[in-house]
Amino acid sequence: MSNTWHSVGRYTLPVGLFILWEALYLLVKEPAMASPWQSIVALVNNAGEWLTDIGITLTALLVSFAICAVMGTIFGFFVGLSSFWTQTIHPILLALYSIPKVTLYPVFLLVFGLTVEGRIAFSVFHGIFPICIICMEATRMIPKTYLKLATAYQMSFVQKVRYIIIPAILPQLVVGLRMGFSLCFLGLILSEMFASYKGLGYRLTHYMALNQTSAILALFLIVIFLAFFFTFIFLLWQERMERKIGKTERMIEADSRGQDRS
Amino acid sequence: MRNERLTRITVRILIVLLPLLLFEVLVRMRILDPFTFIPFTEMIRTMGKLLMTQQFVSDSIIPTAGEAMASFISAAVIGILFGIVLWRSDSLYHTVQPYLMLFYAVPVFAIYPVFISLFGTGPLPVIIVGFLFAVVTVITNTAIGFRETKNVFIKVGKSLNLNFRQMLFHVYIPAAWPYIFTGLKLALAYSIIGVVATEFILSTRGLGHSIAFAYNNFDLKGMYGGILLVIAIILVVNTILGYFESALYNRNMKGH
Repeated sequence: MSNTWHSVGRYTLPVGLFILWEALYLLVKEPAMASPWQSIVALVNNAGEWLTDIGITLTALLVSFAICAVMGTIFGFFVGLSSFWTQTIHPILLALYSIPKVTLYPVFLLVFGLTVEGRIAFSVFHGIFPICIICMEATRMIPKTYLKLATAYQMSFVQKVRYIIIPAILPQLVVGLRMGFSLCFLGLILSEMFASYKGLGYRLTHYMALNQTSAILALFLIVIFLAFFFTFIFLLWQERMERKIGKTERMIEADSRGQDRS
Repeated sequence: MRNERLTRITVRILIVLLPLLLFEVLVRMRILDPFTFIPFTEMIRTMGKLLMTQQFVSDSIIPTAGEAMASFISAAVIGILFGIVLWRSDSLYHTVQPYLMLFYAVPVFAIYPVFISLFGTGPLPVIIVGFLFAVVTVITNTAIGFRETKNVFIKVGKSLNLNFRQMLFHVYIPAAWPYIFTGLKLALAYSIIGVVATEFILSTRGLGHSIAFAYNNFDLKGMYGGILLVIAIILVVNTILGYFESALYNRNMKGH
């Protein structure tokens, strides 16, 4: 019974937000604000033109996330194998994680110029730390009995990684990958907003200069949609993990650690 | 045991210092492009110079500090209040919780242009973005902190016949405080980051603006000095609050 109420509440919340948006529009009127309807019209009208920008942003996002996931996991994994190195490097990574990385974007611009490579590099730098940290901790905390089992079966290193270690760290790693993905997206949008001639972030600042609020809001809807869509996939994956092994203390911990974003 | 700690700290310092030293040498030897990089010691010197410049302090540091404080305080107050509401109401908690999780995934800065068209280029849009960036962590940490109050504590309070106000001040708040503090610590860092980042994208004053301005005017020294200053501020704030945080958790552990 209460579950149906929760789901009713869940669906009314976005509706409520739209009503609030309409109310805000009626309060301040154009040109400072556009109504939901005007934004959707702007979305439909510009869809053809924006498709290339969405494509560019999405490609850059997926490339940078792939780099992040591979590099972060490998780094975290090999450091995590040693308890000494994990404890040594952990505070350094946390400190790097907490600095405002946006301010470093000009350095990337100086090195790469106004290129998509520069934006991808920045996005990787923006998103890699939670993946490193969570993978490192997950590898370090693999229960010793698992490893003893591997020794008992005389597994080779590759077999140990394939059958013991990856399944053991994957549940936490999924959380880290989700955080990393969000941060990659944030970094990419920021870099596009600051200096670029392509992509969703560029469009946002472009329409800001033209003072077209309906277009800005339409773009914002696209950005939110993309963010939610991918997060949703990660959450489904996470849920599958949880069903398989049960939500563990360690996953919750990884989740709260991952909140330390910037 | 103590020996291992010592080596760990030594190695840690080396990991930080060696790349900086290598960077310094490579830049000084002009192996790295001098139009892209400046020596690290030069960055530190510029940072010091910026801090001494009256105009930099009044045009960049003070506005940013003010905006960051405003967004932090509003995030703290509204976040704690909302967190308490989510603690008292189960159904609201379960309704909102997935959205709070999704909110982390939204690049909040994308909405900055809307706020600019709503409120102009004054400090308000910057403060709101900083607020949005920081508030969710306060909400979740407050709600979780109160919700996770150990049943034993509640039972003790009930058996002593405490009324709600007494329960609040002697049971719930002391139990939830470490969590709330963590939320506030993160919120302060996020407020600073949110404010600097929005200033960096588009604004007419503040630390973020000064970095973007220096970049656009090929003022390498000013740019690196500003970047170093922002990083230093965040690291100092995080270290101090982190120290208090671990003291708080240690004390709570002992109390149990």
